[in-house]
Amino acid sequence: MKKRWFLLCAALLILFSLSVSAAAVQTDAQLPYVYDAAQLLSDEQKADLEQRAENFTELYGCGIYIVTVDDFTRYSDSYSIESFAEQVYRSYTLGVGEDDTGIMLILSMAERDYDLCAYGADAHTAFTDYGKDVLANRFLDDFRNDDWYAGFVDYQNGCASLLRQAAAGTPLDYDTDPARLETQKRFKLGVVIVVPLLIALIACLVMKGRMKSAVKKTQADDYIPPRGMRLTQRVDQYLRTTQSRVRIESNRSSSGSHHGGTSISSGGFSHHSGKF
Amino acid sequence: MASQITNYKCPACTGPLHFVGASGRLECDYCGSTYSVEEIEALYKQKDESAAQAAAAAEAAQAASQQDPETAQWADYAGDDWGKDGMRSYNCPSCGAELICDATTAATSCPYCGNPTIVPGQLSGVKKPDYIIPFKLDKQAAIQALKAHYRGKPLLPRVFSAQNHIEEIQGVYVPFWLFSGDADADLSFNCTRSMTTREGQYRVTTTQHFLVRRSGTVPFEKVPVDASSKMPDENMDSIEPFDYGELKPFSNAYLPGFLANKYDVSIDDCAPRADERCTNSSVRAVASTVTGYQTCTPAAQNVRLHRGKVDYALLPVWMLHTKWNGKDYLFSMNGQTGKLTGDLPTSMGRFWAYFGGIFGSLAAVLYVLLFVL
Repeated sequence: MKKRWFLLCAALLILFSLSVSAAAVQTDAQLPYVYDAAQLLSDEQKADLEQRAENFTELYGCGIYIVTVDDFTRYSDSYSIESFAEQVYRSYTLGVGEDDTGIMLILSMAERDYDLCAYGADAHTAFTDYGKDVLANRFLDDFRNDDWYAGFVDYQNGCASLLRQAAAGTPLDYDTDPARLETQKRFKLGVVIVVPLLIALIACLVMKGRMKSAVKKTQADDYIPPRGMRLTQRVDQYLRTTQSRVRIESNRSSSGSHHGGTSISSGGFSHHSGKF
Repeated sequence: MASQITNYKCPACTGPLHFVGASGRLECDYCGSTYSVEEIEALYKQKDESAAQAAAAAEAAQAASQQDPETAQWADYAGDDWGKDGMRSYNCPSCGAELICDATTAATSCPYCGNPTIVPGQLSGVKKPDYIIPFKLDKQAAIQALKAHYRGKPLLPRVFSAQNHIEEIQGVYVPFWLFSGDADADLSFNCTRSMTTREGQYRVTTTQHFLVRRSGTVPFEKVPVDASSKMPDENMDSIEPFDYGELKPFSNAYLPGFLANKYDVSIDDCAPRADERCTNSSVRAVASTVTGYQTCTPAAQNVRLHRGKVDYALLPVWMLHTKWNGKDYLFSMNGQTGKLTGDLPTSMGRFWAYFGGIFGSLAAVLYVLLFVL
């Protein structure tokens, strides 16, 4: 009897959990969670990341996607990686739930561009502009070393962390990040000590320098008669012209200019993009 | 052996005459008579000739008497001659006291009667200066300049400025060599002009490179180098420049009332300092004609000096000396322009007090701005 009761409970529990997860991951996505067209990952790595993404997606109700391509300009006429990311998200109906909540990290290897693209109200709440900046800093160092798997794992863990904080009612933002506030406090304290220290030292050294007024002269400008110099040769010979080109970094990839919240485009997306 | 020395006496009352910078004349302290330099020179030229003849006759008589055993003097075994120590002795023409002074001293005053005196021979013949700039500012001006020098120096020990205990103030005619000549400077530079434009997603910087050559001749007139080893070079350099518009042909008549030294550093020993100064200034003057470039890096330079005339001049300097905490402090003031220089002591207590005050007040303001507001 006991055994039967146990099996029934277990069956109900499995059924319940399946129904809950099925409800949470209700999706029409036409792409897996990890789509590696640039072939940066091994099959094992891909499978592992796919499994992790699926777990996190089920747990938090927000699709966590990874897309890699050789060159995003080959796939569309998009001028920027942001608009390409939006096209991918829409075309493959990514996201979960009724409002297709999700976040996608897309890498384009040709110019080493990346974009973090979030969609849906819950995603915008969890992935604020500042949160996306913090998230990017977690994986960019790996990508700069071509350690793709570690970078994607960091990305997924970072997403999970941000989603967890949002679920707890305190999404990571500019005004609420305790690490940033602590760093800012230390920086201000440093300013309060170092700046006055330097100014006081310079001022006192200038005052000390004024105590010494007897110095040997090394020039004789006072003894050149007015208009006395006679210029006998004046040649300005053109040699060559050189040119240097520096790509202008997108302002959107820069950090430190946050004022809190999430900037959402008219299409309902929010982005964080740059180079890796 | 004492030598006869000269002072200028008032033709009216025989009181001592002093040169006064403000009036540019020799004045008598006793009867108030004043005389121009030319008048005194003419008067004493005649006297000097008579004195020289009398001295020659006296020396001849003394030589004759030493050969006569009846009139021979006691041999002097008391010690070495002053000359061996670089000193000389003279008789004051006013009170007769024997004065011992440095072999380079050309004018001094008698410590017994205060008469200003000029040591004969020191500034005559090959050593005679070509020019002199007479003193224009007096002792009071030097004291006022020193007080002004103390002002605006918060690190100066309060005791040092409050007591203002100047131990010695002397007006000194300092010997200078005045070097004149030309410098030919050939310079070349690597220069660039840049322009930045934006092309799409790129910032494009176009840089034009030039090889710039300049040659020029820079004349120098009377670059002064202090010719007295007793005067610190730093002090003498720092009170430059003198106004050469007031250079006058040398005359002893400007000396009474002041100390005067003859040179004891030769032209050859002073020349490297003049060369260095002329070289640096010629390079700077020619380089200043390179304009219109954003960067300019010196590539090569060659300077040839054409050394010209060297004049010997006495220039007026007030020397102020004081001692504090066992250390000597020397200040020099240009006796013509009033420019005063000299190193001052630093109170480390005041240094740290100011440091703490500035640091504390700034830190408090920043704390309020960053943490409270």
